[in-house]
Amino acid sequence: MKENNCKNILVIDDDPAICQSMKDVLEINGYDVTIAKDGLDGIKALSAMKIRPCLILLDLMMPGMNGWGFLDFQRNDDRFSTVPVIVCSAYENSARSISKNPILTKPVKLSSLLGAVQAFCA
Amino acid sequence: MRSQILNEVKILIVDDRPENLFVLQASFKDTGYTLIEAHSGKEALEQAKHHDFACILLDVQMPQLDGFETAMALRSLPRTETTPIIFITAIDRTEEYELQGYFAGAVDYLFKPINTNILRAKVSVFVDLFLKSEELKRQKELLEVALEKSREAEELKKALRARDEFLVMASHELKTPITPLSLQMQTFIDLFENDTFHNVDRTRIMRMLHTSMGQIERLSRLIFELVDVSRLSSNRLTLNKAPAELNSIVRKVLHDFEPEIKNSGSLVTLDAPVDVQGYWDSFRIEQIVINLLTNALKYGDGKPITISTRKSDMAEISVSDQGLGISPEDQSRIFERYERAVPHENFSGLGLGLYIAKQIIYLHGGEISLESEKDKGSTFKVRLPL
Repeated sequence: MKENNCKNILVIDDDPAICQSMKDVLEINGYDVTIAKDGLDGIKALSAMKIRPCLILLDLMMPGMNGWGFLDFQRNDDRFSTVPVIVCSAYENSARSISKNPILTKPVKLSSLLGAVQAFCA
Repeated sequence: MRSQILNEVKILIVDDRPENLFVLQASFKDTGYTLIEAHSGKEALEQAKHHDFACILLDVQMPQLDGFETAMALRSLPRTETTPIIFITAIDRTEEYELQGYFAGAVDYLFKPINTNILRAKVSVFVDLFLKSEELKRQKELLEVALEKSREAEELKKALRARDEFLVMASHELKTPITPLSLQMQTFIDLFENDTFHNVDRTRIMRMLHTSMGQIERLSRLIFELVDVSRLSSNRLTLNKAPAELNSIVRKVLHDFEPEIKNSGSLVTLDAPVDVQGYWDSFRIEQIVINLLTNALKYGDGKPITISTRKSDMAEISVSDQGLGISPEDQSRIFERYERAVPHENFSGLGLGLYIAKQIIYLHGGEISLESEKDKGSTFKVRLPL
């Protein structure tokens, strides 16, 4: 699952403070983070990235295209379907029902975030 | 059981002669009925106000009010409107005379001398009818009580469900700011523990601290909203009025919300040609402006937002966006508690902003109105006494 030396992460969340804080703390820990404010923005960012990310952190409930909409697109697109996604939501049951991967329950702790990221990124 | 019920059966006997009343009393001995006597039409009318009679036995020849007149008066009283009346008369039957009795509301005639068996048989038919209709009345009352109870239970259930949904939503809203706070604070702790703080860019640290501060403000706003709503629902929200100026309140809000405005992508302009002085609770007026502005930012689709203030006989402030707009069917309910025009899954917030704004405006003696068209945008206009 791990891609060698990949440190690119895409964070999709409609809450600007969550996006920005994830970007800051992950970058302090040596990752490169791109942020997107909804599913559609995420698809745009994904298509524009020169290096395919090693992980997508995805919120579920967002205005515009939500997390389910994004997953629908991503899983059916050959370019991105192999990129692992960690669903990150306050609604644990919704998150579990849609993903085989471990999930992150909000409020997210730094140790869980870094643990989850380390499992997928070099 | 039956005798106990029969005890509750009352029959009104009306005759001006005591001996006739005595005969009637004797005729119903052992039936268990309660016979109430009246010695005149006037007394009969008085008794009719206090009892529900199964049947009325009415002498036709009486001084002053005669039987026919008494019968007509009884028909106009609510308790005897439909009570069966049997006329008792010694006069030889003539058709015209009998007809007059039926017009006055009689259901039957008995002629003196009275045959006790016939009298008892006739009255017992009316008593049975009376008991059946009483039973029906009782059942109807029970049914109504049961219906009312089930309606109340249904409303209670609905209110509980609304409260549960609100609690789920509120806890989600309160959790959201915790993520950035917790991630950033733990990062700072790690940086200090590993003594690697100096490796991090100063502007990044500053930004993180500002984000954290913003989350603390967000949490306290949510908590204040919850407190306000509980105060409003128990009428405990009071205003601290003092001289204030509307434009300076708006400018303060615009300054405090610079980060949110920048984030929304909307350009916000203030159109304030003159100072607008008034006597208000400026903290609460600020809250109204914040609630209207944050709604415009949230639903404004990144398009320009205009806040304008005017002064006439009242102070006026309107907030216009060019965003999602609100459909006519949603326009009335968005001012209600916990309501919003969009599902909570898509937009954050407690659904309390407009409710609180409207209540504060009402407490000031002002009013709020809305003009909106779907996909064209919304204008909220507030008018306050000066």
